[in-house]
Amino acid sequence: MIRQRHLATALAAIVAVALIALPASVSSQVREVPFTHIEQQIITAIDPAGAVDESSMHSAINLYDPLLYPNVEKGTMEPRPHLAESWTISPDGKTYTFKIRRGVKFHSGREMTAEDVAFTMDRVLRIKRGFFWVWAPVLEPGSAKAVDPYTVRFQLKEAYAPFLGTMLLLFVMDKDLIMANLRPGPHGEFGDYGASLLERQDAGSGPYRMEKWERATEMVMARFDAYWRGWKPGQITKVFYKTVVEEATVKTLIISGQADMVNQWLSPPSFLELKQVPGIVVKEDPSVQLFHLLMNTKKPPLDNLKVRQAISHAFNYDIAIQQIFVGATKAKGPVPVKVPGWNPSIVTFGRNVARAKQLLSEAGFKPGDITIEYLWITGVPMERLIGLLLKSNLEEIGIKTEILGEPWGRVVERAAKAETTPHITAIFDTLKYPHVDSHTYGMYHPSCWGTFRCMSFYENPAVTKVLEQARRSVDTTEQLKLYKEAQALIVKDAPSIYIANPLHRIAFRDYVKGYRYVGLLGFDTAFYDFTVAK
Amino acid sequence: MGFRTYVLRRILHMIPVMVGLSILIFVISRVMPGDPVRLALGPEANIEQIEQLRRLMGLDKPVHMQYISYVAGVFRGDFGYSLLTRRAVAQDLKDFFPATFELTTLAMILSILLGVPLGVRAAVRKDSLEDHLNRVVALAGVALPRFWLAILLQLAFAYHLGLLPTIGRGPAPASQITGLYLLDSLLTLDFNAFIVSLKHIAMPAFALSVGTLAQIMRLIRASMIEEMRRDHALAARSYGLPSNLIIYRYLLKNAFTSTLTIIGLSYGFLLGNAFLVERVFAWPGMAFYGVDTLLAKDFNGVIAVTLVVGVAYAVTNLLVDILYGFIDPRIRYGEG
Amino acid sequence: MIAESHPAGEPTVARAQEWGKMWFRFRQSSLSVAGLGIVVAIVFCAVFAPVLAPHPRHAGSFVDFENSLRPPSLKNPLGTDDAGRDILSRMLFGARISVSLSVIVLGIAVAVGIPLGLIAGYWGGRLGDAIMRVTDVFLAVPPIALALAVTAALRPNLTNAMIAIAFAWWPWYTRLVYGQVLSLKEEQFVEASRGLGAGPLRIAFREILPNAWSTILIKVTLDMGFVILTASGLSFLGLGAQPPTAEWGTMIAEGRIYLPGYWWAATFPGLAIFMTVLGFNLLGDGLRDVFDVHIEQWQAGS
Repeated sequence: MIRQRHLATALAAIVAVALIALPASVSSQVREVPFTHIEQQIITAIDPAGAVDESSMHSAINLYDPLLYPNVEKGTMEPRPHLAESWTISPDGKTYTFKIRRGVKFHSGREMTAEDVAFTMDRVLRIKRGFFWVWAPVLEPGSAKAVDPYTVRFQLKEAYAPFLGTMLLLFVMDKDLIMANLRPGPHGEFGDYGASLLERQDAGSGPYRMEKWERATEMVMARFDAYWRGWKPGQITKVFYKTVVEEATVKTLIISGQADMVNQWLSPPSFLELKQVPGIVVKEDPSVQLFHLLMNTKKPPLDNLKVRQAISHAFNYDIAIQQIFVGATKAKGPVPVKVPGWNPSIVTFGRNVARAKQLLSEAGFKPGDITIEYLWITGVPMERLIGLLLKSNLEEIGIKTEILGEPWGRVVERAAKAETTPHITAIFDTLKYPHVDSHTYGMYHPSCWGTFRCMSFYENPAVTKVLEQARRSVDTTEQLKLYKEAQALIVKDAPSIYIANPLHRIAFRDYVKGYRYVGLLGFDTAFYDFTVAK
Repeated sequence: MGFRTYVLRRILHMIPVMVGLSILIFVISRVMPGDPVRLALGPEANIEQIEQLRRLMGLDKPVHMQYISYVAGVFRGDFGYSLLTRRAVAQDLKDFFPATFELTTLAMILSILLGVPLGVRAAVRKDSLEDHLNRVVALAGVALPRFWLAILLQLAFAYHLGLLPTIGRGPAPASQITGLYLLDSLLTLDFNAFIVSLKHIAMPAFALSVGTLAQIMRLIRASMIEEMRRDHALAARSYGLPSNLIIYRYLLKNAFTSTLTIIGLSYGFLLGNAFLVERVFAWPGMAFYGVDTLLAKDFNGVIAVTLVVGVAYAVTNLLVDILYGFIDPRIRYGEG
Repeated sequence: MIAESHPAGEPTVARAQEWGKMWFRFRQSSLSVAGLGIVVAIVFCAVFAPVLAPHPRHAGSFVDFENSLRPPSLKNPLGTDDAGRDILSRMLFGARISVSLSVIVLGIAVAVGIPLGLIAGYWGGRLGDAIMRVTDVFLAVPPIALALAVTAALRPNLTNAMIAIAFAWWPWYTRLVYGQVLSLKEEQFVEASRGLGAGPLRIAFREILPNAWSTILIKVTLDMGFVILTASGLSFLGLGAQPPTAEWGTMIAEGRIYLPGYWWAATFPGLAIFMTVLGFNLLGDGLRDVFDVHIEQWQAGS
C-alpha cells in the first residue's frame, strides 16, 4: 500500500517534470551546440577577484566581461575596446577615463553601468586577492569613481606604464546582485562581499552563465541569450568544462571523441601521438611564455655570481629545446621574444663546460663541494626531464643535484621566504598583463619577493631604480628604452637559467573553428570565439 | 548479554577510537610543514591578510585549544572551513560523500556477486585446472596496482572498444533524493538515466572490486572445502540429495557466514583504494577530494575525510556484526 | 625449554626431518613452487642487478634524450623511457629498491608491532589495554589513507614513504601477536614453564613467541607484496621516490602519461610489481598450507 503510494507520487512527479520541460524544448529554436573541454587543473574560484591560475581565468573570461579585451582579431595582445568603448588618459598619466558601452546586460537582466565598474575595482582592492597586486601600487578603494552612468574615472597615485593592459583583468561584476546577497564576513559593511553567492552562481555579463559547478570535476556553462555581442549559428551553446588529471585519460577522451578540445599541459610526446590521429588538430604557436629555472640568489652558494654563471654555462640548452620541448625558441632573457619591449641585443649564456669549471674554481669551489636542490611541480613532466638533464649537466662540473617534485601549492608556499625557497625552481611564466613590465618589474623588483615569480630573490639597486623609472615614465619610447636597459642588467646577474619560449600546443577535433592563441593567461579559451561545423 | 546491549556497547567502543583517530590526524595535520593559510590565499597574499585568515580560523590559539574548538564544532556538524574549496568542509562532504558511497557499495556488491560463485566452483572442482586458473586469476586481482588496472581498463573499454565513457559520473538524474545516481534514477523510474549512470560507474566499480572479489573467492573456496570435509555434507550426500542442492542450501550458507566477517574489513580497503581509483576516473567523490585536500595541505579537509572514512569503516563493521547475528543465531554477544 | 631437555644431537635431526616433511608438503602444490621460484628470481635480480643489467648507468643520473621512448629492441629489450634510459636495466635495479623497501618497512613493523603485541597480550592490565586502544585507533582507517596523511606531512622521498607506510603497518602485527598470545597463554607448555618458575619476559619471548613465528612469517611473506603495492600508490600520487630513483611505482607513475602510444614505459614496471606481489602471495599461501595456519590476510591493502 505504502509502496504503491510512493509509486504514484513518483509518477506524478515525472509527469509534472515532463509537462514543465516539454513546452520549453518545443519553443526554443536554437540548435544546441554542446562542447566538451578538458583541463588538467581544477578551477579553484569562479570569483574573478580570486582568479590567478589558468583554469580560474577560463571561468572568468567566459562568465564575465573585462573592461578591455586583447586585440585578438589583429593577433596582438594590445588592449582594445570591450565593455569600455573608448578612453582618455591625462597628460601626466595619472587619470584614466573610460566611456562605458550602453545596453550591456548582466545575467540578472540589469544593465551594466559605471557604478558596477567602480564597485568591482573597490571590491578587488578590499578583498586583496587574485590580481589585486597589479593595482595595489597605484590604486586604493575609492580611486575608481562613476562620473555618470556611462563614464568611469580611475585616479592613480602616480603614472603606471602597464595600467591600460591591466584593464584586461578587470572582470566587471553585478553590484546589485552582490549587495543583495551579502552574508556575514570579514569585510565590515560588505560582509563576505558576495563570496557565498559566488559559490552558487556567477555575477557577470559574459557570453555564458554558470549552470552547474561540481567542484574539482566539472563546470557546465550555458549560453546567455541576451549577450551584448549577439549570437550566430554554429557558436557553442553549452560548455562542459571538465577537469581530468590523468594524461592518458585526457588523450583517450579526445581520441574517442568524448572531448572536443584538450588543454595545453600534455607532454610533447602526447601531442605527437595526437597529431597522428585523423580528425584531431594539434595547433602549435610560438608562445609568449617563459620557461626558466630560478636560482635563489640569497641561498649559498648561489649567492655567488660566479657559481650562478657556472651553472648557466653548464646547462645544455640545445638538448632541452630540441629534444625535451621538441621545438621552442631559446629564451633570450626574462622577456619572451615575441613581447613588444623585448631587448634583442641581450647576450645570453650558452653551453661552455670548460668556462663553467673555470668559473667554479674561481669562486673557490672544488668538484663535490656543492649540492643543490632542484624543485619541479608534480604534474608537469617536462620539468622532471629538465631536472634530469640539469643533474647530468651539473655532474660534469662536479655539482650534485637533488631532484624534488612537489605539488603547485607547496611550491607557492616555499616561495614565501628565501630560506625555504630551494636553490633552483622550474617555472613556466605566462604574461600576466600585456606589457613588458610583467616579466621585468613583476619578477625582479624586490616588492614581489615572496611570490613564486620571484624565487630568485633578486636585488640590484641599479635595476630597481631603472624599473621604477620605467613604470613611472609617460613617454612610450623612453619607457621601452628603460625596460630594455633593465633586461640587459638583469641577464648579466644570472638570476635564472633562461631556457625557452616553448611552443604553445593545444589539441581539438577538426570541426572546431575559430581557435586562436592569444598569449595572455587563459584568453585563448574563450568559447564564444569558437564555432562547431560538423 | 542481549542484542541491544551488545550493539550499544559496540557503539560506545567506537567513541574512544574516533576520539583517538581525531587526535592522531589532528597532530599529523599540525606538524605538516609550511603554512596552509598562505597556500590558500595564493601567491600574492601579504602578511596582513594571512594573519586575518589565521585569526578567522582560530590558528592563532594553542593547539589543544584548537582541538577542543574543532571537536565542539564537529558536534554541531561544523568541520571548519576548507582552504581548498573556500567553503564549509561539511558542505564539501555532503557533495562528495554520496559518490564515494555509491562507488564503494557497488564495488562491494560486485565482489560478492562474482566472488561467491567463483569460489564455490573452485571448491567443488578443487585441484582441477579450473581451480588453479581461478586461483591465479584471483591472485592477479590482488596483485595488480589498482590505478594501473584502472588506466588499462580505460584504454580497453573506452579507447579501443569505445563501449563505456572514460570518466566521471555522468549527468545527475533529474530529481535527486539520496544523491546516489543509480538509486535516484530507479526511484524516479528514469531508466535512461539509470543506464547512463550504470555505464559511468561500471569501470571504476570493477577496477575497485577486483581485489575484494579475489579475497572473497579465496575465502569461499577455503571454507567450502572445509565444510565439505565435515560430516553433514557427507551425510546429506548419502541421503541422496542432488549435489547442487547440497552446495547451495547447506554448504554455502555456512561458508557465507564466514565471508561476512571479512566484508567489514574489505569495505575499509575499498575505501582506501578509492583514493587511487577515483583519481583516474575523475570520479567526484570524497577520496578524490581527500587527495586534493592532502596535496593542498588543507588540514580541515584532511581531518574530516579521515574521520568520515573511519566512521564509515566502523559502521560497516558494526552492521556486519549485526547481520551476522541474524544469519547465525548461535553467535553469543559476549566477547566483542 | 623443550629443546634444552633433549640431548644435544637429537633436536637437530628431528628438526631436519620436520623440515623435510614440510618441504614435501610444500612441493605438492605447483602454484606454491611457482611462487617460490618467482620470489627467488626477484631476489636474484635484486642482488645481481649490476651484473645483469645491460646498461647499469641508466639506473643513475644518466640521460639520453635523443633515444627517448624507443620501443623494445635488441639494444633495449623493454624499450626506453622518456629520458632515453633502458627500462630493463632500471627494472632490475628497481627490484633492489622495491624489495629492500618492503624489507625495511616490515622490519620496522615487526620490531615495533611484535613487542607491543606481546606486552599487551601477556601482561594485559592497564598498559595492555592502552596499547590495544592505540592500535585500534591506527586500525580505524585503511593503511593507505593513514600513509597518505603522513607523507603529506613530510617531504616526499623514498625514506619518508617508508616511514609513512611503516607508521600505518605496525598495528597489524600488534593485533596478530596479541591474538596469538591470548590463545597460547593458556596452553599447557606455557603453564608448565610458569610452574617451573620462568619469569614473564622469558615466557613471552622464549615460549610464546617461537610458537607464533610461523604465523608471523606467513604474514610477512604475504605483506611483502602489499607493501610494494602501497608504495606504488604513493608514487602514483607523487609522494614516493624522487627521480632519478628507479623505483617501480615511480616508473609506472612517470610512464603512465605516455599510454597508450608508448605503452612499454608503464607496462613493464607494472608487470614487475604484479609478478612480485603474485610471487609472494603464492609463496605465502603455500607456507600457510604447510604450517596449517589460519590467518585472515584481509587487512593488507594495496
